[in-house]
Amino acid sequence: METTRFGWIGETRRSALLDTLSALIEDWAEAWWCGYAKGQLAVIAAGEMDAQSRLQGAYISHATTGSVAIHVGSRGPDAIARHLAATVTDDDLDLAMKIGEQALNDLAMNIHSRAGSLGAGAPVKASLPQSLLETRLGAFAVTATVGRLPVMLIIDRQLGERLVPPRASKTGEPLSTRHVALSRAPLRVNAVMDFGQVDLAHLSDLSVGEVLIGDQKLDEPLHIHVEGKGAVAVGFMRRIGEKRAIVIDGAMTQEPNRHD
Amino acid sequence: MTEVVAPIELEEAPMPSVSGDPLIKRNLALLGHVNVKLEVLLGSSEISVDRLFSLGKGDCLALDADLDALVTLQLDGKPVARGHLVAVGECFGLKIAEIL
Repeated sequence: METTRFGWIGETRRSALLDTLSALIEDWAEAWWCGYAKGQLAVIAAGEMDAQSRLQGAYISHATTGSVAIHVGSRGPDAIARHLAATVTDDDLDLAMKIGEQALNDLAMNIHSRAGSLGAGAPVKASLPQSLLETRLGAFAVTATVGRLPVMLIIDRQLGERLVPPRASKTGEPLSTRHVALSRAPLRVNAVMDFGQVDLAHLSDLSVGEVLIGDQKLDEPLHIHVEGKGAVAVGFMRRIGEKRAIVIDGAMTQEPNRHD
Repeated sequence: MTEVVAPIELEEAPMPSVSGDPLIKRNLALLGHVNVKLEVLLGSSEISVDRLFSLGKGDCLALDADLDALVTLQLDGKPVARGHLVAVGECFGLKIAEIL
């Protein structure tokens, strides 16, 4: 079952994510843009997801570490190649598209690589899933302007948490594993003898002073029950000073009956 | 003579069922022949989870009950009587000291 964590990313981590994604976009732009100058790049965190993020035409890349969507305005990836070649014609559309897709793929792979993914799917045009649409599910978007080309990046919470892992809580005690925490938990164990079966008529007639004879032999073991249910071990009654005691003889060989 | 074989059709039971006064009076004598399983609680001990899972053969668990303390007779997990454990031949017995 797939689950998506609910909750907005906090401001501290939004800021850290903005820095990380800015650096990744800057590296990407520097690698792809001829005559690149840092002044050409502006990256800002997008506000609440608006209608723009719902536009069709986003390219989405999935990896085990999360998903990223890349949107280059209303145009397709070929816009990148046109932008690089400073042309607006439809000449060599296929080549422009190929170059643009390679550029998008390069950006997506850089982001996944930073998140620690060993492999990721190439970006494909698709509708955005909820995890990339809803800020309340931790989606985070940045809008970059490389020269005059607008680029919107949206990452899901999973990828965001890999890019900027949450800091350990500074409040409260450090967490213990449940196994360790449980190890000192007290349990009440009872020493119980299966006395045997009697008919209700006999039981109803019992009175003080009478002796009810059981089926349990003197040399047969007793049961150790945990919290009144489920026998876990067998043993024999002994004494420790003035107290009764049980010397463990073995474990129960079958699972405790759920209805014990 | 040829017997006619026909399926039996049952009349629909009223839903919800009509409840009136109980027909069967609460008389345990009616159940006198029913066998019930009894248990005797000899005592308890409080141990940690770690201790439980480290118990080995021959380990000893001290119970909270004195040697001469009454043991509890339980029916379906409910205490119904208390008494002293005794030996009756090869078997345990319970000499009733308290019963309602």
